This record gives sequence, C-alpha cells and structure tokens, in this order.
Amino acid sequence: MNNERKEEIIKILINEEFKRKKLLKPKYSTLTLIKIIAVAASILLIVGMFILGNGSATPSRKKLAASAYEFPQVLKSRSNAKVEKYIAELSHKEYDLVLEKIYHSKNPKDLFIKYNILYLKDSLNILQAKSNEIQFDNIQFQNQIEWIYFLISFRQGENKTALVQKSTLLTEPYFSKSIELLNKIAD
Amino acid sequence: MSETEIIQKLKSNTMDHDSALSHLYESKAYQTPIKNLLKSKGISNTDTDTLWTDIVIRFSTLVRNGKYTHQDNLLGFLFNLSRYILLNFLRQKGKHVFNDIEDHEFVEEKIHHYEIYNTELKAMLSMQLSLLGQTCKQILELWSNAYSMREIKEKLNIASESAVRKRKHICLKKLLHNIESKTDLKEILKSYER
Repeated sequence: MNNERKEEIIKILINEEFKRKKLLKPKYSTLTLIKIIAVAASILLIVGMFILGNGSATPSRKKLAASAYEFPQVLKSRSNAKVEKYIAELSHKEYDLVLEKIYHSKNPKDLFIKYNILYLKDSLNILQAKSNEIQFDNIQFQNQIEWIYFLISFRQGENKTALVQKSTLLTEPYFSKSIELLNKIAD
Repeated sequence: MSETEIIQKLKSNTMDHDSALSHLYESKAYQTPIKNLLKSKGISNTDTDTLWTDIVIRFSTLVRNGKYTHQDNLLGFLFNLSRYILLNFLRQKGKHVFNDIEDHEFVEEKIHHYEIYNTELKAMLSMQLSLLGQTCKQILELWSNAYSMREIKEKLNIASESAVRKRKHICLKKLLHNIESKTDLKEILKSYER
C-alpha cells in the first residue's frame, strides 16, 4: 500500500472519528450543564424568596415602613407636656419608660408622642382602635398621625391601589415619602 | 428534512453537513427499522447504538465521496449498509454470522468496495486522537473535512499555508507513529485494500 492510499484511508477514518465524537457528544457540555444548573438554582432561590416574601408580606413591608418612619423630635415648649421631661430618655430610645410616664396624660403633645411610641412598639391594634378618636388641633401632629395610619395600612399589606388613594390625603413631606414607598412594592 | 435535502447537505463540507448528519442520526424513521434489524440479529443495545452511529457516519462518507447515488430509497440503502457493517462486526468479534446476512446480495457494489471496518483501529484512532494537542486535533479535523490549507490557515489563524502544511504533517506523523507503536497498522490497512 503506497503512502498516498494509506493517507487517504487514514483521512477518512480521522474524519469519521471526529464525526462520531460530534454525534456522541452530549447535547450540553459539562460547562453548559453547570451553567444551566446554576441558573435553575438561582431561579428556584428567587422564586423561593418571592414565595416566602409573599407568604409573609408584612416583614418586608415592615422593613420598608421602618426605613420611611422617623420618630418626631421633642423640644421644650410651653405646652406643659410630661414628655418634655423625658427628652433625654427619648434620645436614648427608652420608650417603655417614657410611655409609662405619659400614658394617662391628656396633653396633646403627650398623646402625640404616645401614639408614636405605640407605633414603634408595633401596638398597631391599639392605634387602629383609636383611629376614630385621634384628632389633633395641631395640624403638624395631625399630619404626622395620618402618616402613621398610612404606614400601618402599608405594613398590613393593603393593596397598592388603596394605598395610592390614601397617599393622596397626606401632606408633604409625607406624601412624597408615601410615593417613594409605593414605588418599592409590586402592584 | 427530505431525503434529497439530506443527501445534498451531506455532500457539502459546511455546517449543513453536520446538521444533515445529526438529523439522519436522530431520525426515528431510519433509526428504528435499522436498530430493529440489528437487535433481531441478537446485537445488544449498546452495540446497536455503536453500529447505528457507524452506519450513519459511513453513509455520510459514501455520500461525500460520491459513492452514493440517490434513487428514492435511502432506507433500503441504509439496510444494505447495515447488513454489511453488521457482517464485518460479527466477523471481527468471531461471532456466528447469520446466513441471511452473508448471503444477502448487495445491490450497491460501492458499499462492498468502500466499506472499511476495523474495531481495533477505530478504538486506537479514537484514543490517539484524544491524546493530541488541541491545535493538532483542529488541523486534522479540518484537513479530514476537506478544508484547504488556506482555509485552515484562516480558520485557525496560523501564519502561513506552509506552516499549516508542516503542522498537519507533524500531527499526522505523530498520530500514525502512536498508532503503529501499539498495533500493526500496515497489516490492518491491508484489509482495507479491495
């Protein structure tokens, strides 16, 4: 057998061997399979987190609400409010102590701070029960309390359409804050 | 894909060839009757799969080299080719050869003429090819696929055609040397002479 013929046969065999390798090669390479598995796992994780997030919508909304809420600043005034004696305690976030001292006070400023502390302590039921009786002459107090009620609805998973409606009743800066919050949740 | 399309695409050396090859390989219309034939002769599932791969590949070689003339009976031709490959396979394994296979008249003389099947060489080639460097493998693959030296140079970004030629020569020499060190290549290749 001459070299030319030998090379011709080998050439055919090599060609067939490469074709065989191609035909028998798995549809997906190991790397591709790893990528597919990684993507699938990520999707599962996201779906799982989504389900968990939806299953307990309150915590995620609670976190958002917490980031939007600011405890009102208490300054000395002529209002004769009990809470003014506890400015230092408030700055140290000793809310239980302050709440105990002001709980039965009828002073509007004390009431205002009381409701804020109740909100901070997640006593939403108490606040909701009082929703009809809380009325402040002080417009700033009233606006802030409206904001707290918006946050309560938000935390309790009320749908976005209803929340949008409620947000229109808020004044600035609370209206802007509510829009920011609403932009962070799905419909 | 129609039979005519399969044949036309198998004649090219572009991606069309590979797609037609895959199509034929996966096609139940051809695969099932051929595999049933092989299984009816007592061939195991694993060997049936191996033989089906060889049948498809050998068929593509015949088409590429102008040894197949399409006459609207692709399956019939594949049956003939299968019987011949099966016959060689059984002989190589030293197994009983069924009379109906041996006595079958091969309407296509070209199969008879062109059929080359040596499991030892096939296995050796497969192993030795896998031991070559990546560039060597690429050069030999393209060369065996009828690419010109210029095309290989462009595809693999090699400096010149003469460099491709030189590297192909070295790669092929290395491959054959490795095979010859383990088998009697000359003796095996003799059986390919008809």
